[in-house]
Formats: sequence, C-alpha cells, structure tokens
Amino acid sequence: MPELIVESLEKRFGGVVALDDVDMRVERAERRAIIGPNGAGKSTLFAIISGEEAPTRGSVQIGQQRTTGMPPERVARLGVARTFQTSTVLTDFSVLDNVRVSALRTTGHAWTISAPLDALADCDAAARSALDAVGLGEKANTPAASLSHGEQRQLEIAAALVQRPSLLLLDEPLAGLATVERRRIGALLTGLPRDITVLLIEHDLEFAQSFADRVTVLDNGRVLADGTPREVRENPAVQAVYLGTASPSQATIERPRAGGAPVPLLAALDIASGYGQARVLEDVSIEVSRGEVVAVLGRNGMGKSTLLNTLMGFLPLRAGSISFAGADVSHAPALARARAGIALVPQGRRMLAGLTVGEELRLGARPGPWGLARVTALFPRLAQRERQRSETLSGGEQQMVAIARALVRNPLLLLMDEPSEGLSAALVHSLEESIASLRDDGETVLLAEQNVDLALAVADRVYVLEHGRIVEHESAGALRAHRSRLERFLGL
Amino acid sequence: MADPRARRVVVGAVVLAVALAPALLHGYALYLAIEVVLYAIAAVALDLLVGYAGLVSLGQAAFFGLGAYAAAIVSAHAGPNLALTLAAGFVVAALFAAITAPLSLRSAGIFFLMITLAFAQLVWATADKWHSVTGGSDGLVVPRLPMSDTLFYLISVALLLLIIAGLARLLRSPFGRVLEAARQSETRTRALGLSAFWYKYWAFVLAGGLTGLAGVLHAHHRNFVSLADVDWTNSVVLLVMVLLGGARSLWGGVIGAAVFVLLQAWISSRTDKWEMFVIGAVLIAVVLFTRRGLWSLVNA
Repeated sequence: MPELIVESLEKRFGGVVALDDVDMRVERAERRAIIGPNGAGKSTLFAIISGEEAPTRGSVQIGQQRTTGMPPERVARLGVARTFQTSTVLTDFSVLDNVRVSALRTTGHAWTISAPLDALADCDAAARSALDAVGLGEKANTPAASLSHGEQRQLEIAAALVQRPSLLLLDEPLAGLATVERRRIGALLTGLPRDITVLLIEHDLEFAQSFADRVTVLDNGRVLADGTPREVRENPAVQAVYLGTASPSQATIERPRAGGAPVPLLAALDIASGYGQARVLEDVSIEVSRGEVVAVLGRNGMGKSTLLNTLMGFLPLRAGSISFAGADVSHAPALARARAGIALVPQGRRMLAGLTVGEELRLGARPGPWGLARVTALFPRLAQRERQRSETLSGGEQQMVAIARALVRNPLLLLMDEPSEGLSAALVHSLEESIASLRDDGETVLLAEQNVDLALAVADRVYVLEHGRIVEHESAGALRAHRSRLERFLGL
Repeated sequence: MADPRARRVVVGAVVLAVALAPALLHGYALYLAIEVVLYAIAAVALDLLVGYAGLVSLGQAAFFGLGAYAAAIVSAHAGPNLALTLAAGFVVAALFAAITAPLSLRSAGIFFLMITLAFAQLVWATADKWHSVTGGSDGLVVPRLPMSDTLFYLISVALLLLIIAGLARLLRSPFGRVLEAARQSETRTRALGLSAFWYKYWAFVLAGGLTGLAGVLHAHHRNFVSLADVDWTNSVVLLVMVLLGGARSLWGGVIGAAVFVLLQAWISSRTDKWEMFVIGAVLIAVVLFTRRGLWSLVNA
C-alpha cells in the first residue's frame, strides 16, 4: 500500500523551475533515499510534501488523503514529521523543552493552559525516551543553543521521532557532521523502527545507498532515475550527473605557461574554520599563483563553500593564516578583501532584489579591462536581458549575472563557488568555455566544483576536499590521465 | 539564600511590601503610584507580545483608549461602577484585537508594527470625528468612583499582581511554551502540527483585553478621557517601558513603567523642555549596557 504518492509535481520560483513533472510513489514502511546535485529540487520536494510550499501544478497524496495545498500543521497531524536541512532547533529552550514541545500534539496537550509544561508526565516521559534514543539523555537540561552542530542534528531527530510519525522526512541529517558524529547518527537512522516510512535526502551516497530500499535521483527538477540502490548505481545517466562523463568536451586547451617560479597570489596555511560549534575545515593549505586556475573538488558538505567563504572573509578564521598579494589578510573583514581584489561568485547566485541586470553589473564595476561591454560579449544573453529584473531570470542566466558581476570588479582573484550548479549541460559547456577564456586572458581563478569534467578541463591544478581536509593535490593533467584517483573521493 | 523556597518567601514579602507601601501615601505621591500601576498593567500586556510572542505592536494605544472610552461611556449611562467598566473595557478592547488580529498577524516585523499602528490611527480618527459619542477633541468627563484613592490604588495593584501571576502561569503552560516556540521558529512550530497563528491570535486578544483594563483604570484615575489616550505616542511610551524594563520578564514591564512614570514626573517638576531628552538618554544607556533591560540587573 502506498504511503506517499506524488504526481506530475511542478514548482516554479519566478524564472527558475525547481521541480518539473515529478512522479514518485513510496510504499508504506519503505526507506527511500532522494539524491541529486545541489539545486536538483530535493528540498523543494520536501517543502511541498510537508505543506510549506504549494506546488505550481500536480498533487500529493499521503496515505488516503490528498494533501496538495494543505498548510504544514495539518500535514503534520496526518503523521508526517520532518527534520530541516538548516537546523531549526529552538535555541532559547533547553534540550528537553525542545522535545517536550514537539511531543505536545501527540500527547494531546497542544492547548493545555491549566498545567505547566514540565508537569505533564506523559509528555515528559516521551521526550526523555526520545532523547535517550538519540543519545542526548545526559544533555536534557542544557540550553539547546550550546549544543554542537552534530548534537543539534540529533536533537532534530529526537524532536521528529517523539511525534511517532508514520512518514518521516530527513533532510540531509548527516550534512556538516564530522566522521564520528556521522557514524553515530547513521547508526541511529539505520536502527529506526522498520514500520516508519522514511524519505532521506542525503549527499553522502554511501550512507544513502546502504540505508535505502530504493533510490530516486533528481536532477534539474526531474526524476533522472528510480530504482534499487544497485540499479541506480549502475545507471549511466546517474554516473554522468555525478562524474560528468556525459559532458561534451573532453579535449582541453593546454596553454603555454610562462617560465620561472609562479608568483603566489593567495596562500592559505593550515586554516580551520566552521559555523558556530561545527568545525568544517581543518588544516587546509592551498596556494593560488597569479594567472593560474585552481580547482577545489569535493562532494557536497565536504567544505568547499566554507573554504571560499573563509577566504572571502565571510567566516572567521579559527586557526592558520591567509595572505593575499603579499599582505596578511587572515583577519581582514570581507570588505577589505574585496577592495584588495578578491571577488566571489557565491553559491546560489544571490541576486539583488529589485535591480535590473544592467544595474547589478554597473553597481559593482571598478575600472579595469572588464567593463559592461566585455562581459556582455562573453555572455551575449545578458545584453538582451539588461533591462530585466535579475530575480526574474532563469537559474542559468542568474549564474551568468553572478559571474559577470564579479568580473566587472576587475578582481585579482576570482573565487567561484559551484558555478555549474543548476546549469544545463549546454550551459555548463559555455561556462567551461568562458572560464577557459578567462584563463587564457591571464585571470586568476579559484573554482570550487563537484563537476569533475568541468574542473579538469579548465584547471591547472586540483585540490580534493574530503570532510574538511585536503586529501589530494595534483596537477589537472595528471588527474586527467588517472581519473580513477578522483573517483575514490567523488565517485558513486 | 540557597533554599529556593526561602528565597520565594522573601521575594514575595518584598514585592508585597513594595506594592502595599504606597497605600500610606497621599496626594500627588499616591497619584503617581496609581499612574505607575496602571501603566504597568499595559506594559506587562505588551511584554507578553514583544517578549514572548515576538510581536512588536505599535498599536497598543488603541486598546488603551478603547478601554478608557468604554469606561467613560458606561459610567455616563450606568453610573460609575468599577467592576462594570473593567468588564466593558476588557471586552471592547479584546474584541477590537480579535477583529484586527487576522489582518495584523498576516505580516511580521516592521510590517506588523505598521499595521498595528494603522489600526490604532483608525481608532484615533474615529474618536476624533465621532463627536456625539466620544466628545471629539473636547473629550469626556468620567464621574468619580465612589471610593477613596487609597482603595482605588489597592484594587489596581491587586489587579496588576493577579495579571502577572496569571500570565506567569500561562507562559509556563504548553500554550505559553508553544507561543515562544513560534517566536523562535514558525516553520518548525507548524511542522510540529501546531498552528502558530492561533497561539499568536489568542495572545494578541488577551494582551488587547488587558491593555483595555489599564485604559479603564486610567479613565477613572484622571476622571477624564481624551484623544491623548488613543494617541500613537501612547503606544511608543508603552514600548519604551517594555524596552527599559526588559522584554521576556513580566516584572520588566513593571520596572519600566515605574522608571518611566517617576522619571518623567521628576524631570517635568524641574524643567518642561528636557523630559524626552533625559528619557531618551536613559533608554539608550539601558539598551547599550544591559541588552535585556533593567530587570536583568535586578535578577542577576
């Protein structure tokens, strides 16, 4: 009997199609993993199932009930519990109160005003046993805000389990966790009662495939594949998405390099960084020389964005040092680094609300070889879109604006965070050509990517990040010859 | 004072002593004490919204004014009866809250602030134009209650303590905790199957009604109701009291009201120009140096 039926689901945000005709059927007590690149629409799918977003078209059925357009509180009352990708732990409460509040609905106390929350015996018992189950029993009385990132994940899961869900949605429960914590949470999830239907979004493919009965692969808002973990692993289309083997260009343009020792433009030495309690980067050292294109490869959640954001100054450095153009910028604010000549193409594009394409590009412009004319020559599409509001552009077009916006700053160093994310194969190809032409013009680029082909085609050197550490450092040429060395870190 | 029970007894005794002492006062001092208590009621009610529900309302003058006008009108028709006017003031203010809340609660943050302000301005404009009922800019005289100022003070302070005790209990209950959960993360609260909207709705209605009670007391205290009672600056004064005393503690509202009323009276007895300047400076100092208001100093 199906627990969840999703039919012809479509979701558009302005010009971006997040989900496009998605069909899915999950049987009762099934464990289903949903995998796919960033921007594939996985979290949007969860948001629609749980009622936070209404679909543009299509329907959702949970059990016997059609839930399309139902508000989230009503969907939850059907027995649906979820965890969130970015933790939504109630930080003003104690750990115990977080779970007590989560237990209120199922214990029938949602509207009780006659007794204090901490005097409800049934609610308290349910909360404590859920905390024990996730291994947080000892921390019951500590403030939730003081928990580590991993413990907040555990707390999220306790808060979901205490609702005794029949359908559980887990959105990247392992993201941002260190190895020990990954093992603990992984074991906890695998040990969940088998009668709960579980949908799991996860970038850790090994875990996703060992956990799930079936796997659904989303790519660009569409279901790319659907089957047992083994079927999906062997599916050539899936391999193409993850390893980029389907990319049109394998040939790369070798360029003559100037002789002599390269001049280091950026040098990061043994840096550590993270968010709140969570340390994401540890002992990372990288160097980028003038006129070089360097790629940082790694799967999602391995620390690529954290690295670029730390280099840009958006995240404070916990250890190590960063020097740029001969000056120590370890603790310089982002504005100072931008003025010194670092520009970031952020993940997710970050269009400025209310501005047209032309305005966005003029806003950041600084004198130098890259002007409006030159970027529109690089991306002719932007010339046609100059008067359009940048928020209304398609995902790929917004990516062009983000790159052009960084270029017109005429930076000494261009940091690009997954520029290929959300771009179609054709657009990835033209992106590859643009980066290659930047390289031939002598620009310096540090590129964070999951798309191996793109990175190998344009980069001079490659670093591989795994769980916040550099595990491989090699010239792109050598890796092109020995791709298997990368598949160990990035492969299915 | 390690024993929490002993501590509670001592704190209770101190609160009671501070609450009862002004009953020994006369004249202007007693007048100020009453003023403190009735503003404290309104500030505590706003504290429920700002500190616990996370709703920064700039429209509390509407509820205050509705309570005051209700007291004046009921007194004019049925004679000055405090129980009757309190009931009428609570109901009218709570009703106005119940009607406007669905629209106000559709927005959050600065938009919530603007919408509550706009609704309050509607009340002000109605009070201004509907001369036959409200007296327009002339205002209404409220007949004196048949009781001494001392008794009126004691009733008011009893009401304040009752409201604080009731709200403290409510805030510890599941209702209050869900209200706080919704402040921290509406998305999460709704995903738990709890309708954040209705928790905020009832908190807003309750705060409206309680503010109406303060307005009733104010009308009887001044024996006069005027457009100044529904003026938007009254909403600002209440917000300043909450920020001074510290949101997220009900006693913060009381301390804020006391500091504001007494400081204002003290300054205006010396100069008629620098009142707001001094209060502004005090507010800046409190916000900069305590972050959680004066209550955090007392409760350290």
